Amino acid sequence: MTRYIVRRLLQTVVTAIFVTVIVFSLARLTGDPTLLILPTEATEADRTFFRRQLGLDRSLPEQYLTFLGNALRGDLGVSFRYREPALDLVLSRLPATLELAAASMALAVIVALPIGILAAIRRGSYLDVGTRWFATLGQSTPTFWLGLVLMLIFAVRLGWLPSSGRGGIEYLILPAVTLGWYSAAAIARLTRSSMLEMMQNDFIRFERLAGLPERVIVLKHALKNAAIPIITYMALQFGVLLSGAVVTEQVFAWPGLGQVVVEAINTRDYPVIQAAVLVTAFLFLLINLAVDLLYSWLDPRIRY
Amino acid sequence: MAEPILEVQSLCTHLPTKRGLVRAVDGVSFSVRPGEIVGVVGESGCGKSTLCFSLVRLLPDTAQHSGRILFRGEDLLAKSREEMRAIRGKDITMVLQNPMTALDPVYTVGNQLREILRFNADMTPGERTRRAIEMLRQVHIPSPEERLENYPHQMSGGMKQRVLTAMATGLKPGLLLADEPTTALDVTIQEQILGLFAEIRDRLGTAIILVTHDLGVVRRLCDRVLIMYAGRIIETGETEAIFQEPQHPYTRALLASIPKMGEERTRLQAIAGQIPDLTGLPPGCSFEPRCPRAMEICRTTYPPAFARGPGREARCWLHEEAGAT
Ligand SMILES: Nc1ncnc2c1ncn2[C@@H]1O[C@H](COP(=O)(O)OP(=O)(O)OP(=O)(O)O)[C@@H](O)[C@H]1O
Ligand code: SF4
Ligand SMILES: [Mg+2]
Repeated sequence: MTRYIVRRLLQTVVTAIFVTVIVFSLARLTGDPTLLILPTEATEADRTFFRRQLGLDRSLPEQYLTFLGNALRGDLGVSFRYREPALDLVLSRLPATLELAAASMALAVIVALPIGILAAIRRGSYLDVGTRWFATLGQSTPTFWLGLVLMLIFAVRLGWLPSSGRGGIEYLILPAVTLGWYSAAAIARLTRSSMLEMMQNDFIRFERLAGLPERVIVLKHALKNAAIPIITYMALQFGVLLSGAVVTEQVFAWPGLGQVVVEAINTRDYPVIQAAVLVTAFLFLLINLAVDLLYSWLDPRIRY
Repeated sequence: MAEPILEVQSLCTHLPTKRGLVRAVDGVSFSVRPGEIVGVVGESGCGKSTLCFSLVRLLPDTAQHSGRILFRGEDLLAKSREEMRAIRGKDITMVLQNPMTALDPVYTVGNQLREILRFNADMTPGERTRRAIEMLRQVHIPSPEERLENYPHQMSGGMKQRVLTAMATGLKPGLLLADEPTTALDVTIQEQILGLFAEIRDRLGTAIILVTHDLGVVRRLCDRVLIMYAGRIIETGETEAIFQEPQHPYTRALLASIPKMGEERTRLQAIAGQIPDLTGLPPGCSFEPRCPRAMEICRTTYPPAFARGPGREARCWLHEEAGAT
């Protein structure tokens, strides 16, 4: 087990290094930063001086190592716009985004798991047909549109919930529903198909022959066997949620990472974009690591 | 002679499909006495598995049953879902063809054994563990205490079939259905599992319905044989009588297809032609298209069961002069 964890950690580190390479390269691909930072009337001499200042005259590997070294010390540069360390800016907004993503995920799972299971065991019923409609609709509804519609109905028309900002739980409901909608539909669909597949197994047949109640067969046996694909998918959906948060946060003026990213992109605030991408990617890596460790607990055939 | 524990009367199991109604079991009658091992033999697709699953009522809800399945005198076709669940696993049990996939891979063997006891018997958790160990010991699994902690993937196929047999016989069922229980195992393990069945019958008096393709197994183990063809029983009788004097042309063909001693397995000659489509059986004898002795009447009229001595019947017009039963 320890060996497995160590190996998995090493893999995560390697992946993390890849992420930094990608983030580094993307920033260099976007062209000459001096064109953006310096006024258009700056002379070529000014630009050369500036490039040397930024270390852009050195070779790419050298630049990368500097970047990596700084990153390891938590230095991801200073925001062009706010003159603040980019990482601090990103980390200060992270809790709001995590809160939103976690609430959306919780909502999605609470809704999607029972629906998916019921649809699978009542295959062909109205509930099953309804679930398939929900899955298709849910996965094709644009997030911003759903957000606006929900806001119009529940905030503007009915006045039940606040339309924007962050505060108590009432502020969380509309953005979480908006953001979780897609994932709920996707998880419900996958739960249904995984459960259907698991219910075809020979051991399910044998358990029926052995007189076990259907409830135990479905919830103890089929569900635990279906858990690996479902949980893998949930981890993927968490990535979808983090990126979906960008749009949702705009619609509901939720003060999270998404807002910072949109602003940074509009103003070409590269250090902030880099910091945001790195932090999000690391979060995603951590979640995948946790899920992998969960697998071996769920399925004894997975050897460490 | 003891009262039959199972008496099946004119059982039909018809399965609606897109292609039409599959008459997988079509008017089957037979009985099984306590402690008897009855073999069910026939080509692939003739309805053997469907017959077994009909007896425990585990076919899809769309299956249409008619006739009667009297188990200890009570008609199983009249039982509710919950009543059937209580009967399964306790009074009637079944082992399946492929032991490799019949256990849940994510729980230990002990967990699954105790679970069966939990839902079929009235025991405390401590009693369940003791009983589970005892059950494994009964099927000759060495160091059963340690085996309880094993996951299925840590066991061999033969070991798993023993575990499944333990699960199916631990509560002393009246009837055990075994649907090709050894087909997936290699020969020496097959012998051991079959030996186990004989032992269980002797020790518990359990009646066994043994579905198999292997006529050699039938001859060694079964007291009586049902020969199935296209959803019907076309010949029944004591095993030796069937092997020595097959009455039905299909039975003869089956016996002729057994490789003789020393003969190469690859030379096994299947019977020419195919089993008819179960969605549209001909009005006459279903074996007629393949029968070397077919007559005019065979094409138009389905033969009734003709008595061929005590406990023997054959559905073939060749025996008409003996009179229908
Ligand atoms: N659930 C089902 N729905 C529709 N048709 C079925 C179903 N199960 C079996 N059948 C059909 O019923 C017929 C009998 O099948 P069955 O599995 O009982 O045969 P079998 O004698 O057990 O064959 P084998 O020796 O291959 O196991 C076949 O034609 C099969 O296609
Ligand atoms: S009834 Fe006719 S066709 Fe059928 S097995 Fe007998 S002889 Fe052959
Ligand atoms: Mg079969």
